[in-house]
Amino acid sequence: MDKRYIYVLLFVVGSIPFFVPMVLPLPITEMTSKYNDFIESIPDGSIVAFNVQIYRSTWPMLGSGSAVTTTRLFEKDCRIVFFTMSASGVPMIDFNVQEAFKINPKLSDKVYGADWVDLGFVSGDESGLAAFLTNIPGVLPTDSNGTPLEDIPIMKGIKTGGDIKYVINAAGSVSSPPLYFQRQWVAKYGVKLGLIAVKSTGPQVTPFIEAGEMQGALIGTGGCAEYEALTQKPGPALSLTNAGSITIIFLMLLMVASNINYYRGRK
Amino acid sequence: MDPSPIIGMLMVLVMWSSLYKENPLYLIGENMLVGVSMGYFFVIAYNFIQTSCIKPMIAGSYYLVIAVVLGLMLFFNLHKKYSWVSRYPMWFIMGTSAALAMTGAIKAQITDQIRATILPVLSISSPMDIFNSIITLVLVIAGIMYFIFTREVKGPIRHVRTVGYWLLIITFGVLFGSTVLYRVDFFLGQLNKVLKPEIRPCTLLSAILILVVVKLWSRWQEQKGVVDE
Repeated sequence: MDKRYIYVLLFVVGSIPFFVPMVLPLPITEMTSKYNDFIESIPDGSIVAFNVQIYRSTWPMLGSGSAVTTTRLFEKDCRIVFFTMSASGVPMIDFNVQEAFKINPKLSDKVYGADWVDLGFVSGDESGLAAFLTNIPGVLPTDSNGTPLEDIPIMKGIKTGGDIKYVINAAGSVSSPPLYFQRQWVAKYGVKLGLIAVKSTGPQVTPFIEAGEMQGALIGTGGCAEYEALTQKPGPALSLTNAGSITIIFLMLLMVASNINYYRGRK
Repeated sequence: MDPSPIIGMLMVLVMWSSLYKENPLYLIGENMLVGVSMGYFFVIAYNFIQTSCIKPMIAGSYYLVIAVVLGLMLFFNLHKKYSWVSRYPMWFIMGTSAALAMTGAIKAQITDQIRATILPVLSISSPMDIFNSIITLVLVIAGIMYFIFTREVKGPIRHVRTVGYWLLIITFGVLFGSTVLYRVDFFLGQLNKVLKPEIRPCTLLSAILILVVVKLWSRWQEQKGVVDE
């Protein structure tokens, strides 16, 4: 059979929920529940560091989790220090904030510099993060607009990674979970960390959540959809999850069919 | 009107057109992706070096010249005769990264994980939690046992290794399964992008046009006698 027929079928099956709205059951997993508890446990008005390492390509998957988290933090009057460990994440910081303002338009009065700041790109992965946490104004003397950090109200008194107690790591990394946040920030400064990551990182971060080293995680579109449901801010992740469920059922049927076909061929 | 959703949709469709057959539209899209990415990364890296290195160096932080020199030494890798020069900054990067990772990893990935495996068994909690903790502890020991190669494993202990072996197989299965799910998520994310209600007519029209171009290209190639590899 020409594999292009399978592609066409996959497109058709995956598209159904975008044309026909449907409501499928969505149980809340423990990881998402813990993540929600973590966000709600952050005291109102706290300063939270937020790594927006989501790219344009992974935004449809994880963007809603990131935007809803930003909305929820702003609703709690938390002040957010945004930065990104990836060059591709630079334009996504502002995009993320604008999406949060779309979710709750009342938040659009949040003031740049007082309620949130965009520090931009921190280069160097693990070594870069370690240097950044040791001396934040030393590594990034200005924000992404070129304003010196000493002139930004939210950055007053923030010199090292230990001056911020809560961290959100929205990491669209494909190859591996960014464990260096665990090593450099949590282990050394004792901060509390929540993660938003792609599906493939789920099994790798589970031990850290079980051990209490990570407070909770939104894993893949499913995790983001569960968080949308928990916070009662329905968004694109919910419809994507329905499409995901139908596509996975279709893929499983294909696997069963091809295995039956294989065994019949052997006889 | 913001044209970015339409440009994004066109690029996704052009890249997907390779599923039918490799074609010039796909090659244009591929080269655009590489070119735009390289240009973008160059600008971001240049700005970062400017802000974090050049400006502070001019302001008096002269020690940063070491970083600049080490960075420049990496470019010797492009020269066949003097490529050895690039090994020194590479050793520096490797050494620093390994040392930094080790210091945090001992707590985050070793001691805290051992504590989390053992302590729940010893602490008084619900019978179900104790049962789960014992299962975790036994499976961790079985998994570690599989990697004991210093002497031949004989007797009943080899059954523990067998449990460890199956544990690893199940773990790899879970990892592979989650990778497949990630790809499905990724595909649907892009599908959502091209099927946004406001651009759906445009998507349909673009898909038909791209398909026609690919079909014509394919026919022209066949007439020329070009065979796909």
